[in-house]
Amino acid sequence: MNRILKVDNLKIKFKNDLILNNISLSLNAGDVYALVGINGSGKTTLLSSLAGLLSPTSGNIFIEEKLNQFNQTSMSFQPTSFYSHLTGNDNVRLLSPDPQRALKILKKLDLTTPQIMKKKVKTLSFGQKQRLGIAIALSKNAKVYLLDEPTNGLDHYSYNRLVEVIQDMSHQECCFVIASHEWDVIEHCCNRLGMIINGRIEKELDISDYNDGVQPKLIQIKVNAEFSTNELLELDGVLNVNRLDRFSWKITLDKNCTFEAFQDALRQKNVSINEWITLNPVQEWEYIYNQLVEGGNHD
Amino acid sequence: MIKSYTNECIKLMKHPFSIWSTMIFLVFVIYTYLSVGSNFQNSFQAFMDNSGYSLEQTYQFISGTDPSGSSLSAMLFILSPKMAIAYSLASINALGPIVISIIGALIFGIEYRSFTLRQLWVKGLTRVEVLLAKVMAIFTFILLFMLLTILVGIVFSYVTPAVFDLPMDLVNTKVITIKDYSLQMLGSIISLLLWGMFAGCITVLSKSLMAGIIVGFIYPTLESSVFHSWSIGQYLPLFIQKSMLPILFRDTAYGGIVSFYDMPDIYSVTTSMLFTLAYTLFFLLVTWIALKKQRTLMP
Repeated sequence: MNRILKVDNLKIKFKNDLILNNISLSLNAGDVYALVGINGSGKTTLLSSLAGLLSPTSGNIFIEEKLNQFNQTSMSFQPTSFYSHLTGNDNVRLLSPDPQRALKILKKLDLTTPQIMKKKVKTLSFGQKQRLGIAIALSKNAKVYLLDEPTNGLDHYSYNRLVEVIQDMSHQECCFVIASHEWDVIEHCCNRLGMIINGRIEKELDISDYNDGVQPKLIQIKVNAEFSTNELLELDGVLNVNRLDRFSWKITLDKNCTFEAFQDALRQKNVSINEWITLNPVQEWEYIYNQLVEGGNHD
Repeated sequence: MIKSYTNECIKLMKHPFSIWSTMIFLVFVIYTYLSVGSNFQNSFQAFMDNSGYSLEQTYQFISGTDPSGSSLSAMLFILSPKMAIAYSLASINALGPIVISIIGALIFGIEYRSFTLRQLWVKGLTRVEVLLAKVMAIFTFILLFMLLTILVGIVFSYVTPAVFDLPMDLVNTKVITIKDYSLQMLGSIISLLLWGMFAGCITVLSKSLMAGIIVGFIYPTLESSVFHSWSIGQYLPLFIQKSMLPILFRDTAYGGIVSFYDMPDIYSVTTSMLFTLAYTLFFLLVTWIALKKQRTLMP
């Protein structure tokens, strides 16, 4: 795989506030990298610096092994930026490097394209503006596409089409960084996930492997007896535990540990499982993310 | 570069302010013609009543006097088609700076107001490209503004005498040379460009459309009412720019409703033009440096 984007120890300070702290990242062609984080965690700042809109305080950004090759990036913004007194058509002509391609993408994303093109932008709905912004960003022939909250305001139809467009384009020697709060889009579009907390990527997951059972499994159980966190962590295959109430636990099992083996290990301690569920990948990621946000550790 | 220039022209020409301000200005030009025509009619009758001259004697009086010697002669002189270009340009120099300073603030401020500047950078445009395209768009607007005003002036130099039945054959117009017209046009372009660039520069420095418009309004008033009395007053842009106007438009000083008060005899037309141009280039340079240094504005 060709490496497209390499970020080395990127730091951005605004006055005395450290907004991005030692971000390092490497993306290959075909990578779709999801960036999750609470508001103010530095997602948009990171995307903006990758687009060359903000100069880093220190650190380097290489695109196709060339330093600061920002003409190879494209970005869709949140909120969208348009000339409100002009029509959608005018905005596409003024803001897209390839208006024909933008129109083609817009037609894929939106059933109301003729309306968008004819009407003044100030009269368009939030979702229509969002689709217009995405179409303009994706129309540039770039190597790195940066999408800031691209699914905000999208209806189900546009959402599905956007996933298709991203999947199609990711096969064309480029990569995506998508800042999003929506786990659904991350599950369907992305192969990598980065969790950014206070300007630092605290956790990275290769989520393309999740559905293949290569990654740790998260289960939620209800047992018939009380026991301590340490007792659970001593069991083979248990990576992490989190008590929900007296008898309920969320447990991360090693990728090689089966549920049956874990159940047997509990039985040997005279504990039986009354109820259990395997959490799907999205719930797992959300769980890991929530733990990070709340200040917990997950290794 | 040409694409950027046409894009800037589209943004400007389709903005409601450009359209409305031009329309209102043209109405002002029409008003100046009709008011002079109406004023002539009233003054003519009053002159006959007061002087006791017959119609024939009054005609002889008008045709025998210089525009500087009689208001009746001056009014006919202003309304004559030969003076249409000069009088239209004088009108432009009287009120045009207000329009052009708003246009200058608008063409830069629109990007800050709608956060579209970041879209332009992501599209791949350079600071110089955007700056030059915007300045050229202001220049184009000035040319169109002048052309329309001159056309309206020429049309109403025929319409007004017809409407008020004025004895235009009495008017004693001296020959206006191509050099006079050229200097008047050049002076007008340079003057207007200065105020467009000044307001644009303030807009970029403050990153605010409103600040650009307000300072664009306030500064000329402040300079003429306060700074001109200071020892450095004669080196300031308004003083220098205004120095050329009473010389360029000395023929329109009588009879019309647009005239320029005499300035101290410090600058010739040529030096005034050159220094005004130098100030314009200075504001251009400051704008370029500010654009280069600015972090991209985020909403």
